[in-house]
Amino acid sequence: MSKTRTRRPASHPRSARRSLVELTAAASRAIGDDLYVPSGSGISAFPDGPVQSEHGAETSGHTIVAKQGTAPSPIAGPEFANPAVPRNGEPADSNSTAEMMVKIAKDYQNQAFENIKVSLNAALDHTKDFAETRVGSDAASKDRGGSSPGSNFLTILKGAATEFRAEALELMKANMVTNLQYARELAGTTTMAEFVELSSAQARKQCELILRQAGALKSFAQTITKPSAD
Amino acid sequence: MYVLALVTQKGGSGKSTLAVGLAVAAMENGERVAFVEADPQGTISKWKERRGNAYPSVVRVADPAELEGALFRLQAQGIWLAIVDTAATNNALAMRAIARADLCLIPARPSPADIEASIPTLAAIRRLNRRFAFVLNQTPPRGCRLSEAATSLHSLGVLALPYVGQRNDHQDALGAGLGVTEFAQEGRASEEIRELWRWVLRKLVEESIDHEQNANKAAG
Repeated sequence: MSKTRTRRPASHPRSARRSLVELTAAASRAIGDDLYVPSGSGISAFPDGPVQSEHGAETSGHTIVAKQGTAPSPIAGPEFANPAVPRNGEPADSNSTAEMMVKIAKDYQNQAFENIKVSLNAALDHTKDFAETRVGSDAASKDRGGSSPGSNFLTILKGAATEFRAEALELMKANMVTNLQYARELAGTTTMAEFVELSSAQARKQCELILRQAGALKSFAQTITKPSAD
Repeated sequence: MYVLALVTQKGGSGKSTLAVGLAVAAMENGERVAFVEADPQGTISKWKERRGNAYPSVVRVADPAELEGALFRLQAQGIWLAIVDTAATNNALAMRAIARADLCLIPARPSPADIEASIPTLAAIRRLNRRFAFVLNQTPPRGCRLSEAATSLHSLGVLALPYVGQRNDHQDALGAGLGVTEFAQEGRASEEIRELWRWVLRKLVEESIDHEQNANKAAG
């Protein structure tokens, strides 16, 4: 039983074919090192993301919301901290997939931040317009000898709104940077799934909170200016 | 609503053609199906233009941030299955689609280029902890390359059954604005696609439940 192999005539030379299995094994080995690197420095909890937002709410949004009786639904704390299971090992700095994920998360956060900035500015400009109109009409009525109990308050409100805008944006930006740093650390810690979902969920929650504040401020401005229009 | 994503960075592996075939097969099964086309090439939109039927609807998405909203709207419309067709690249949009999918299908032809190209996609899917299956697509009727490809893909992960053979009906159906099961109802191509849909359905429904239970257990 001799093993015979059919050979093509020497006049038609062909190179040896490499099997798909062999090629796949080589390709998966090349990337497999990236896939299965257990790594991380043991970060297990999310930084206190929502705290800054709540702080932001205290500046003026919180009071306003309370006044309107439409308290914001409590944002659950860092509920997404849970899946970040600490692991030991070296960070996977050379992990190209991880880098891509970080980039995606970064893009996503930047975009979310830009969107929210636009919305917030629009809402606050609206508020400012209301306040200015009201102040203007109060000043006019004062000139005519009318009383203006609301004028000081509205000036304060206008100032507060500007302050609120600056502070909210600053805090939001700062927190996003923190998150991103956290995400980078997390990238070497646990799976990308957790990291991407965590970071985007975090960004979304912050944005929702800020939007709610901006919305509350806008509603407040409408509420206080309405009686004067009557 | 279930989300089925067709992903791989290899062009020409049959993502859009399979997406169309599976969508129509699912509709024949009575499911409410819609496409999310995340591929600027627009193969599915063009197919839809040729199609004289309002269903399945096609939503085009160009930005990763739009995907979530598009899926949300489809769910609100009572869609049961959203099939996301992605571009032949591992871009942010494809990543979002993977992250959101209940099941990712990775079509690959029995060629080194397709199989190699599927590996980075596979890496991303694993990192995102998503369920996936390879679909061996455009296969020749016989030959050692087919069995090698099957062995290779099986070594990397789950391989869907049956393999989808290289048949003109798929391309002709695409050109006619039909699913292959509408184009040649009794053909081999239709049989394969129907069977593949049943396989995908089992994966989607039964194993999604298992997956959820496992996730709940892990969370608890």
